[in-house]
Amino acid sequence: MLNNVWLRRKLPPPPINFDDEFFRWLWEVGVLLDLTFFDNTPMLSTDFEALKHILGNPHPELEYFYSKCTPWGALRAGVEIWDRHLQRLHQHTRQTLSSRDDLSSGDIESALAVSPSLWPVNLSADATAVAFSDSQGRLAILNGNSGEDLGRPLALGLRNFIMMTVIGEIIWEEKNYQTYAAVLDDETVRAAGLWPDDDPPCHPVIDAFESLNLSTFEKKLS
Amino acid sequence: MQEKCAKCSKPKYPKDGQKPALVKRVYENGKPQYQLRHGEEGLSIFDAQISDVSILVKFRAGAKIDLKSVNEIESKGLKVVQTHGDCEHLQDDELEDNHWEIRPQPGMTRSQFKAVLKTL
Repeated sequence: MLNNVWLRRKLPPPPINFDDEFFRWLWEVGVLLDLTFFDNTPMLSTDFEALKHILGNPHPELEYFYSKCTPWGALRAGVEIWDRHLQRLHQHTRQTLSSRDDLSSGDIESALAVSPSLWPVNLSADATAVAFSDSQGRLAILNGNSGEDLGRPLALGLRNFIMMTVIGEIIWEEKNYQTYAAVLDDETVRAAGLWPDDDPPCHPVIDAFESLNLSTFEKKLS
Repeated sequence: MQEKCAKCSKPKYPKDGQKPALVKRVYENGKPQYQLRHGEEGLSIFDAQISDVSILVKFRAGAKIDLKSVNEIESKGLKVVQTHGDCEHLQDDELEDNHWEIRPQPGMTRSQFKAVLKTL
């Protein structure tokens, strides 16, 4: 299915590795599809150092990504914006998990305190994405937009996430979805993220997403 | 009663019904002025009553502004709608309250939307 996408749309197939050639391909596909895929401006070194000051050392894939792209696009105060976004994200996680009977507020605070840092990948009204490095050194990418999809697992690794994004835009054209949330729900798009069913990365933000959606599902059933 | 933003609890459409005559679009040299970013359902624009300085101070050095009339945009079959701004990221009351988006008309495909944006 995925191989057919490039043939069908007469687009060059993606390089296998996550390297400079892959980004050249990404910019070329952006031109062919009339879209801006990520912001092809390297993150300012001052911003990178400020992010490290807040979050620690990034996963090597993220460090490479930041040498190519700025997650907040042309916005100036990106680090400050990210810091506030993280505070809201943690607050959402606290509030959502506090509705669970099996967790005390102490449990929630402990889980958040030891959870891996959340790094920016993309900031926008409809397509914010965050990343964290799990205990096995894998880079997990999650939905970062406020709302019911906040914390929803998207992809394992940045290459898979970028592939998912490109394929999502192609599918959006073909199936004429009304919203980007609907695009991300498409079976083909979800499959491109290669999120593992077995032994997936763990984070309290994912737990909050699952708790919220389970309770919504239960409400629909009752 | 005014609908409120679920993210920041401020009125969602503070200027509902008061569509501006002119709007401003931020762009960068060497990049298309009216091109969607991946995942975007509309293109950000600001009411032209906001000064260039107030807008540009929020964007990195080198950002520029294009001025366009709403009539011209709508004559291409597009909509101009207030969206309250990206309150999670703009963090500026004046910009959020004067933020609008260029959106496709109902029934327009994403390909058609992108094709029309290229003509602006």
